[in-house]
Amino acid sequence: MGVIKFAWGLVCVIFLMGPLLVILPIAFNAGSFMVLPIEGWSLRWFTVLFTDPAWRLSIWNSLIVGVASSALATVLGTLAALGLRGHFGLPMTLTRIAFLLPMATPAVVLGVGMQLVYARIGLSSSYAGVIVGHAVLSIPLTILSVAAALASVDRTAERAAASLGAAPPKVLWLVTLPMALPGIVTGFVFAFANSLDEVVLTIFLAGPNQRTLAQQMFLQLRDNLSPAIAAAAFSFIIATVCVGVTGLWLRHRNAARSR
Amino acid sequence: MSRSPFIRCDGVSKSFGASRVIDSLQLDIFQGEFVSLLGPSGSGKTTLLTMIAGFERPSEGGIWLDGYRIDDLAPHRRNMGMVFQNYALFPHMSVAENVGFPLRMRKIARSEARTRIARALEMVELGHLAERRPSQLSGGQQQRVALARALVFEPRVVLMDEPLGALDKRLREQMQLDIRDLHRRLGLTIVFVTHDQSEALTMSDRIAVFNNGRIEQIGTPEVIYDRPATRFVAEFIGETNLMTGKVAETGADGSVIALPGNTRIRVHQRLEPGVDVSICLRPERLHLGGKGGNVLSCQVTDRVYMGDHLRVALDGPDGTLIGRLPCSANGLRAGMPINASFTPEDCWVLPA
Repeated sequence: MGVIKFAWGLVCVIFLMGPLLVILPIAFNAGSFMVLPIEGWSLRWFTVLFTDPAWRLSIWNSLIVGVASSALATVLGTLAALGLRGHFGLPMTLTRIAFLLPMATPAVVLGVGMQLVYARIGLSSSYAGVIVGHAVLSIPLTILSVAAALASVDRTAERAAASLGAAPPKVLWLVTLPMALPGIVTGFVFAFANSLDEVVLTIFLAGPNQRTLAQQMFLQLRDNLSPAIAAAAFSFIIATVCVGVTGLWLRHRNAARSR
Repeated sequence: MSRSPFIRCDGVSKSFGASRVIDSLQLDIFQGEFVSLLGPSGSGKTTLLTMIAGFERPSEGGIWLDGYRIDDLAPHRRNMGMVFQNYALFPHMSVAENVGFPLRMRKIARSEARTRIARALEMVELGHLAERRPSQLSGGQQQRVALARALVFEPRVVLMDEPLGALDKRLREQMQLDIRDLHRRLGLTIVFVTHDQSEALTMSDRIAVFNNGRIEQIGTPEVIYDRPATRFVAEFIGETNLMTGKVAETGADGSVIALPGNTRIRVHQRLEPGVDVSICLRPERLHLGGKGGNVLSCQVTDRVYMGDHLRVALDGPDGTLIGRLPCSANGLRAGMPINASFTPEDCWVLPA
């Protein structure tokens, strides 16, 4: 049994990780095309990635849009989760579903709709427009994550704070939010990863100046198969692993603190 | 009594939807008093405490604190310390920060706060753990921190909601004595919710016994135990033998009550003849032998050695009696015929 389980696990891991592992060596290709086997080792495509104006701009754009949209989604998602907390019944359930709807809506539909609205209010091809668009997609993630954290916050601790003289805003700021902090941070990380990844909606909303890294890779893939794409993918993977490890470390530290 | 009550609940009712949890309740609590709200779960005792704390509003009636009506006062303005069963400490703060929280809310200068935190922690003998996190403490230590936190700002009233319910027996008994001691030393006014009757008996100045949203009886532990007002109180507090009968005759020195099995029992209360009554007889009032005024011939059906006493079940002429006998009666065996006796003063008569 053990052997079969191990083999099955291995197959699954290879299936999931294979594509990632295949792309890694291509990033170091000395040749000019995305092919295997590579024609020799070189860092030239990383140089292109970090010096070519179009690639550089897209990296900056991804960071700006990612940080701003996840911050926005975290603030709004936390407020929504606080508002939805402890309320049940049909109207509240419908509200909850409405908040989570962007997760179920195809990004193409959302993209077309937002493009039409943006054209009206003058947000087309602007950073603000892309940031808001990404935030809309991320809000369900932050709501879910913060709501789960709030569900574990002890109500009697909040009552205790009130009885000890804390007005409602102080209870929220000094007790509820700190106790829900791990969920809020997790929500932010999810939102950031979601924004880095997002291409479809971005194609509708972003002008050439707001082109994000993922979008740039997508466009390059269509035009020429430059190994810079693989270099970008490599950097992407490394960055994601770093974010993930940081998240795990934070969680571990929190667990250790409250033990 | 000329003192005016410190906390007054006047005609307080509370309904959640169609169910009435508290029903036109009357309760006066005096300054410096330790009052227990005792009752089974769902009897409304915690709801009343929650209303005194300000987390719920009475549906009818009003609550006064020191002469002021406080129904519309938010909890954080009431200056009442509260201790919860699950401690309700702030897990993201150290012990000292937890205890300092009410001082911080009152904008008390840092140096003064530090001395007061130290004093409060010293009071509960936890001064050495000030920098720990609550999660690094045992249950008993956590509840001491919660106690220190509820006392450090010298509140007008301390409310305790089954504070010892989560602790094991030994620790609970220790904490009972500690809280009682703090109450005496600091002259606190304490409202203490519990479902544990022995806890209420050992700690309180007065006990209010709750049942179905009403107070069945309020009085000192002695009164509640020896002279229960209703069958519910008699059965809820301690163990008791209840014998139901009719008053047969009344004389100058008491009455005689006839039980259905033709037994006649003398009691010292003077009662209206013909009325249906219950006689409450505490197990420790029952003795062996033929002296005492009331003698019932019984058969031993069970005996349990309890260490400090012998618990016997007796089959009497009118049902089973429970007795608490000294261990010197250890020779008793099931099946033995004996005489059980008690004086008229040992009986307390209730409405049936």
